[in-house]
Amino acid sequence: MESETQSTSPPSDPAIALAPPPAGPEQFRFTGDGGEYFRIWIVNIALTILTLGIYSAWAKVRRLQYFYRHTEVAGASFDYHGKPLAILYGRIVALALVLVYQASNHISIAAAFVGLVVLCVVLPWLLRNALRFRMRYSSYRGLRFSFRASNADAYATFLPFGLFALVFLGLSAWAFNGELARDPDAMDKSKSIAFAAGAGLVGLIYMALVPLLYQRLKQFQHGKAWFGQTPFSFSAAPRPFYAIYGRAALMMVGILVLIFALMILAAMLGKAVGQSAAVFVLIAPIYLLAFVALGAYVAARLGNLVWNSTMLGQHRFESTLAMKPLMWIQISNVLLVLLTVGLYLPWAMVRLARYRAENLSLIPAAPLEDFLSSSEGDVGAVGEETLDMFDFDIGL
Amino acid sequence: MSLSADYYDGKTARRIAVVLLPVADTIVLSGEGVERAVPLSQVRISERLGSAPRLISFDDGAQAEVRDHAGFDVWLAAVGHRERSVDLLQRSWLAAGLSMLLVAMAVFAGYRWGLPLMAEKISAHMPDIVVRRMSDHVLDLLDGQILKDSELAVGRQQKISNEFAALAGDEYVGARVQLLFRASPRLGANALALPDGRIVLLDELVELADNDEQILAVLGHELGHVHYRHNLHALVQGAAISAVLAWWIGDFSSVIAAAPAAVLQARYSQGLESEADAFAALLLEAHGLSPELLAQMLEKLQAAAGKTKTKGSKAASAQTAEEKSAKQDRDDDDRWTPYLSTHPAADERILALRQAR
Repeated sequence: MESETQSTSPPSDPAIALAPPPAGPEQFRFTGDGGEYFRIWIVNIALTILTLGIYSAWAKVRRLQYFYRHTEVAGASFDYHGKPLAILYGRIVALALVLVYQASNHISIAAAFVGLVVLCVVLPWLLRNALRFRMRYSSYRGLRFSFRASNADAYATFLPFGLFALVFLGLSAWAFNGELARDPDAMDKSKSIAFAAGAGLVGLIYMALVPLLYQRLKQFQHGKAWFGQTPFSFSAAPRPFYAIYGRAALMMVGILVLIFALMILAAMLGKAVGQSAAVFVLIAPIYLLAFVALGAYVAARLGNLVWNSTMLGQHRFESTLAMKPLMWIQISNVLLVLLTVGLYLPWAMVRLARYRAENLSLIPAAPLEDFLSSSEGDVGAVGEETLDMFDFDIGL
Repeated sequence: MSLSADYYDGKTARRIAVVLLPVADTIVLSGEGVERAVPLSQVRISERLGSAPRLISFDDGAQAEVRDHAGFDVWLAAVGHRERSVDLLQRSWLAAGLSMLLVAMAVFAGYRWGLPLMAEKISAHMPDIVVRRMSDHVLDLLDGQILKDSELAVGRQQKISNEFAALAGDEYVGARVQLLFRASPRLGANALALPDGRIVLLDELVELADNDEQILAVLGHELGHVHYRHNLHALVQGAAISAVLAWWIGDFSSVIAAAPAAVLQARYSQGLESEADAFAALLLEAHGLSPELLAQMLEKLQAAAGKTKTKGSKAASAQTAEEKSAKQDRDDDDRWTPYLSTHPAADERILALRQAR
């Protein structure tokens, strides 16, 4: 950690610095510090409030720069070059989109449906633009990253999922606008059973598609990215994604059975003591803990799968995230953020970034110095901002 | 006094160790195969972000990365570069403290004054068709879940409707306000106002009242909610609070973002209840009736709730249920209760009605 200063020789003898680095694993490192980031973070929030939100675009650039520049591998750090004005413009468009979508949800199911149709059509385009913007303005050792997927690629990858979501919502809309909601008693028994079965089936298929969607997303994100003139590649098939989600689902069933058993036990106990609240006090922490643990398991396994299947040219990555430390970080972060009314957030973000960085290594197959740069024109920032507000995670 | 740096030419990722020389207004660097001298005005020097390396970016995509912060500060002074003022702010604990104060003040002011004002403006300008659709949706949901058809005789319904029409006057009845009759064992004695002005009167409340004047007093209160568009306020405020919370905590964990919204929102409906009470008092007085009628009704509701509570049958609380005060703990003198409850303690409201005269 401390050997962060120049690892190479004194500058008077640059020849030694030119020697090819050993082709051993290069661990990523995150050198940020919570207290340091807290001051930057809170000052930027205050400036955002004073400027009625306009400064938020500058604050965002600064936040990304803080995290990029503190992330290093092979003796050099990353950098972010996004233009605040482009981000501000994106934020305004995104806000309008979110407001319209929210409003459509409040009017009626039909309007919400129309909103979703529009969203399904727009989302692949937004996603592709967001990734393009993010990659275009990221650099390492003076070389820019880029994202080279066309709109056609984006639609071919994601539109089928959108269409399926529409079918799902269409069925629900039919149910809620039809007689089911108005008068459940008067409804034809056989019809209601048929509907329940249909909706259940569609819901199951929908859940079964999540691993595939995630695999396609990562394939799209990692498979079309470039560093200078060197392409990234992504080799994981859907099967291992299904294995992870499947194991998580089994664990969830196990946890639910356990909780159910505990609830019966606690209910009997609670009756004896005369306190029904005891049931809740006993069960709630177990319930929360179990789901944080499950979340950490899925995050760690997926992170490892995705990075271990990603290559930059002939260079590999190795990710060694584990469930227990990740779970501990997440639980303590949530508790401390709640206890400090959000003030712990900068420390929480730094802790997570450090853990993720320290468990990622680049395993070079040849000296890193041979990459050629490429140049590409500017793209707008609209896509990226919209995804931020719809709460999509597009980590690098 | 020179400074060492890593230089990248922007065409390859090759690292070149270079030396930066302290020359005024010019960036002069030299290393293996690299000699550059560029005016200070033609490069960008990255601002300080904690302990992250500082970058000198050239127009052609080349950059120099400096890790020696103390040395860089001395070198920058020699070259004549001035740091931006935001740099000082971001390093100072004093600025951080002042920022925290400012954020706390802004959050308080926004919550206390900004949000109600915004909600009022938005709900006043919401198109009637949107409001009508929303109300249809709410009523459909309630009818399917907790409301049953009224068992009051048609004549009795007609009588109450007529009396209500006389009380409310042409300004409300017909155009926006409409009285609907329903029953709900789960909600108990209650009346609710929908956003578009329809008022739902439950059989249980009719049975609880001693006379029609008391029913009219409660309807006057509901009319107050309609008059001030309180339902829409609550809706807009709820949406705004969850949006802000999602922004603050949400990118971190969306699970905890949803929970506090309901608690915070409760604070508002108190002010709204008192406003509706005052409206009802005025309306009753204008028709030669006493606001005391509403106070009596509140006492009855409170007593009825006390009974059901001891029986242990907790009434289901729907969001739109207006008379939640009926479920209030009476013996709770804690200062915090008014902030956590949907209604100001019913006692306070009764007192306010009686003092108003």
